[in-house]
Amino acid sequence: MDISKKLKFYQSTKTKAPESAIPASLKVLQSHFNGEVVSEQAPYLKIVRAYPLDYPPSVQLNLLTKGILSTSIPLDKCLFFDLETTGLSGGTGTFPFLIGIGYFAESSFKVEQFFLPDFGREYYLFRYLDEILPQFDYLVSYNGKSFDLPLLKSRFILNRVQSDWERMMHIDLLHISRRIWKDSFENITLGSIEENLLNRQRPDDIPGALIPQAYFTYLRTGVVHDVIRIIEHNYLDIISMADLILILAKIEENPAELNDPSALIRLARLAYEQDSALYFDKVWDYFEGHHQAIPSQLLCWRSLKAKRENDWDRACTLWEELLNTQEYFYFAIEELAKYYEHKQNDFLTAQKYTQRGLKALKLVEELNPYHPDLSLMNALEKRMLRLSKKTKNINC
Amino acid sequence: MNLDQLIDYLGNDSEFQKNITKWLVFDSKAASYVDFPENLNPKLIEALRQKGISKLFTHQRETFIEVQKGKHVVVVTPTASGKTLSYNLPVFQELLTNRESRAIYLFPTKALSQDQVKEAQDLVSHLKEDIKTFTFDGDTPYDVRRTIRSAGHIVVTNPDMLHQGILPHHTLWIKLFENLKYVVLDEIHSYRGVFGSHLANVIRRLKRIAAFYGSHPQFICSSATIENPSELANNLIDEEITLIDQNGAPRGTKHFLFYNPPVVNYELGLRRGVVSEVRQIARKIMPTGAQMIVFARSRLRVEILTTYLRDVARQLHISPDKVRGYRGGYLPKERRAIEKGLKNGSIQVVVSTNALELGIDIGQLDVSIMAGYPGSVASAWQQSGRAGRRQSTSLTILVSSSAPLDQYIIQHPDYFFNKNPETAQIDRDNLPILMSHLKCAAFELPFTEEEVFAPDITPQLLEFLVDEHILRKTDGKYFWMRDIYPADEVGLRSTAAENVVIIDSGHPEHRVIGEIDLFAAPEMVHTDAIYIHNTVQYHVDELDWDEKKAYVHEVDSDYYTDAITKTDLKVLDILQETEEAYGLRKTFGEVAVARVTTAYKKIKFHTHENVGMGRVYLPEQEIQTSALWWEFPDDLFVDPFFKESVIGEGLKGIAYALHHLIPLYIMCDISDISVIPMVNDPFTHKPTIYVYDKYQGGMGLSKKLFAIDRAVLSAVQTHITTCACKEGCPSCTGPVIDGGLFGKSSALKILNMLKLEMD
Ligand SMILES: [Zn+2]
Repeated sequence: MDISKKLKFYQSTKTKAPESAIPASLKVLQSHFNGEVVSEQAPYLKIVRAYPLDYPPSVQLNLLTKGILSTSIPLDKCLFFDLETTGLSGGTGTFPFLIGIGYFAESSFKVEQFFLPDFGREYYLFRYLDEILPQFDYLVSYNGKSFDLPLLKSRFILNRVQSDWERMMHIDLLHISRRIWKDSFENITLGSIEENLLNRQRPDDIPGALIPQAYFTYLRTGVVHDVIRIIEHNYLDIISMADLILILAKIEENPAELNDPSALIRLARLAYEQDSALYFDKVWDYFEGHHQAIPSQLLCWRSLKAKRENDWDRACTLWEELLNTQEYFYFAIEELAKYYEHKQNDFLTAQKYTQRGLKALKLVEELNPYHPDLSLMNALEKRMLRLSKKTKNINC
Repeated sequence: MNLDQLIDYLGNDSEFQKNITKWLVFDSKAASYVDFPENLNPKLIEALRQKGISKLFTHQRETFIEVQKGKHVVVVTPTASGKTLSYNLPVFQELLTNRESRAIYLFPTKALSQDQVKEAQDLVSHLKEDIKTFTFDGDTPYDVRRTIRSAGHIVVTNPDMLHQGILPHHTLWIKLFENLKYVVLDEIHSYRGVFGSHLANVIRRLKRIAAFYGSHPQFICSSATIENPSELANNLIDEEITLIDQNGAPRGTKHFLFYNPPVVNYELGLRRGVVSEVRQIARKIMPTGAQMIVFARSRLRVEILTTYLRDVARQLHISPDKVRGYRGGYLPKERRAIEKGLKNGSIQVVVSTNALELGIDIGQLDVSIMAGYPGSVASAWQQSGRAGRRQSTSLTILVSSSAPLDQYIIQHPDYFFNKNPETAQIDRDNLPILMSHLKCAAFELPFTEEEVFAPDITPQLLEFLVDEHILRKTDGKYFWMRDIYPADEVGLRSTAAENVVIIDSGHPEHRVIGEIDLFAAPEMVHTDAIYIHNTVQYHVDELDWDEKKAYVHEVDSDYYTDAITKTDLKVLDILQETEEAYGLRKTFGEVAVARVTTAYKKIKFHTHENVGMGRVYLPEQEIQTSALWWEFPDDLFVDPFFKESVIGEGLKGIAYALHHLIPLYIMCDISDISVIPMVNDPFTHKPTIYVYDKYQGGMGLSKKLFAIDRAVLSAVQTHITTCACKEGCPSCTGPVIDGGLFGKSSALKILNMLKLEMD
């Protein structure tokens, strides 16, 4: 679009907007939060707070982001953000009426919140955000990749403010948290993370689903009670993100930071997938060090790791051990059969394991004929057939 | 025997000839070729030459030139006349000079778009240029959507996707909207009634978004032959339209036969069934090896006819595999295989619903047989157009049923010689529809005070939405103030926000087969009704009124149900009235119609016997809509013949025929309109016939009828006069069992007094 058209729109909105006085409700909010009313043409509220927090100059999130962020992340280059909006389904008609940002500066975590007391007030705020954006290289959000950022971009376009979002790396803490705590918490929300890791409660929190209606009520009535709750909600979301990134950095350094077996197993899997032997061993050491029975899931990942390292003795020992478990019995059968068939050319032993698997499977089928695992049955039978051909060939 | 010999043979077959009411021969027409326009891009000329095209048809060149002048155009073309190239030329010309430009191609259905995409891609492959054509619809995988948004030069989609998936997310489509040069609307004659009224509003939204990004696209429309293509296009896009209707494509000799099955029962006015007649006709044609398409009106009929014709093939020692059925519900893979078989000749006979009427590429066949009139002249032409390779002879046989419309058409083949009288109507300012889209538009971009969405009424509507707390007005702008996504609540196929959803519980996944307006639901899908959808019969197992769900399963029923509905009609406002000749007064206005369905009758097909009854307990429904009514002056009825009951029968007879014949002039389904005869109307105090649109807010149908009522009434008069029956029959004034013995004579006497003959 050429600039003259853009300017034309800007002009027309600016000249048509009548001088609006600051409404009483906004003044109440201003004094409650000790904030500042910005922009006479289209007044909105700015609230600045500092959250005391010690932080290192930079953090590593290499493993936890699966290598996407392989270099260290200078914390003062991270812009945290979170929106409160008039709808949860997205689309251009969804309005972010509260925009919270946070960043590490001067040995604390600074939070700036911008509350828009009506529609059509974003323009000057967006201009401000556009100005400070170049100071940062990373965006940090919680579920911002699929919700907050697309929405914000969309609103920038509607207001004809062009910002270079593509330049910035986006760290979505939800994705990382899900990777770690998927088997630990029922819902991976910021709330459950606060409760379980930060030991923080939100007694007077407003549920996210009620936020749009609460804002509409404010627009109609000017009653600020729920708006105060929303601003607090947003503030807590942002500082929790700051806390969370520091916790993640510690986990990245040493998994033993976590006293959570389910999460540790997920980390072991991540370490296996990312081929990080060192990190894997740290998880392993944690279990051994705590004299805990090693979960079979972890044994399974360990056996695969041994296999990858061609440490066959170790792998076989683990598989033999796994034969005693319910969940990994067939896995171990297959791995052992494969090993004896292809690595040892010991077809008889391979046959023995395959036979054992088939026998177990048929027993299961007899007990529960409705859900036979046909693909497994098929695979085992095929292997059996191949093996008996191979043994015959040798006999001849 | 080849096709020409077959035509001679049929011409001499006296048994066959007895049933032919008219044998039209359309002479072959040479192509009108013209040179490429001087400024056509040399790369395009080269690509076309590679495809074996060295000259254009006149309409293709004309379209190119008019579009180059900046005109919005509508091209009226029969099938297989190079319509696609008409709009591809200007679009590609633009893309070759300015690669940033973008175009949207809009097709009424998904199936239709496939071949157009293929054709565009073929052109691209000859051009060897990086021009990307993408289909964007519900099946488009999420990971390629991003690419399409930024890199697709031509985005092929349908109205529903534009409405729900593109416009509400326009900020993701900046590239498209900033550079939108052309919008192609194909097959606009299918955008009529509710669907068309919605589309007109979707276009309003599209233009509004485009303007926000600084673009003002040009529209290139195409239409089948109808009476009012320019008017329709103008109603849809609200721009001045240049009409291009001189077709330059060549045509072989076309034989168009009108076949009326013989009457088997004069009293009941029953003719021999369409299915068995088509079987007889196909038996004569199949030995010639001619490739043939048979259009059946329902999926069930497709199955029955396919079975019959396979038997015929066996008897004729033709492989039954050469006879195939084709309809919606078949797997895409099966359908592709049939399309291919038709093109390479391995399939000789295909029996299809109107699914194969247009768009899908099956090549050109030799013979097209319509098992029943497809409901509109435009459709009949399109079905007939499936036969006829460009230079050779083709044969079309229309086999009529005993329905009044079929019988009228079969006796008036001039409709196919002369200009098609069918008009496509929409009402883009229908209040419920307009309101729905105004909300969607406000969600997409805030309204300013001086903005016009619909002329004259935009500010009032916006203020109304402010009062309803749906919009908020601040600083001179109207903002969306709800936490929902309004496009999700608006379907483009119905008017009301709340509909009854029809669920096929016989289907393993309980498939939704359609929706029906609350107003029409009680009489259409009451429990135990036989509901006909896309001409398939379903039995309604339960209508759950609280949940607004009707559970149905497919059946092959030998009866249909006729709901007994009490209608209470109140005139709210008179908008236009005129005194006609002989004291007949016609009025157009607004009415409130309250209807309550209390019972239903089971009526046997063909014999129209009443074979059972049932009661229905459902709440009353009310709509406000537009209506036309005629008051018949008392002095028409001085003849002692006109006892009150006889007047009643006469009006009922006229109403019956009128209801069935309205689609001749105004493209619609007969369930879109209601015709109500009143012997002593409480409002006019005179014998009166009302015609109203069965949609909240009206759909422009009765309004159009007000303008052309003399033509329609005169068609009714001619039709009743020429019907072979004595006292009325299902083909003219309705089954005699239903009416009395004077339906036909009374109706005719009344109509004759009106002196309707056109001057
Ligand atoms: Zn008749």
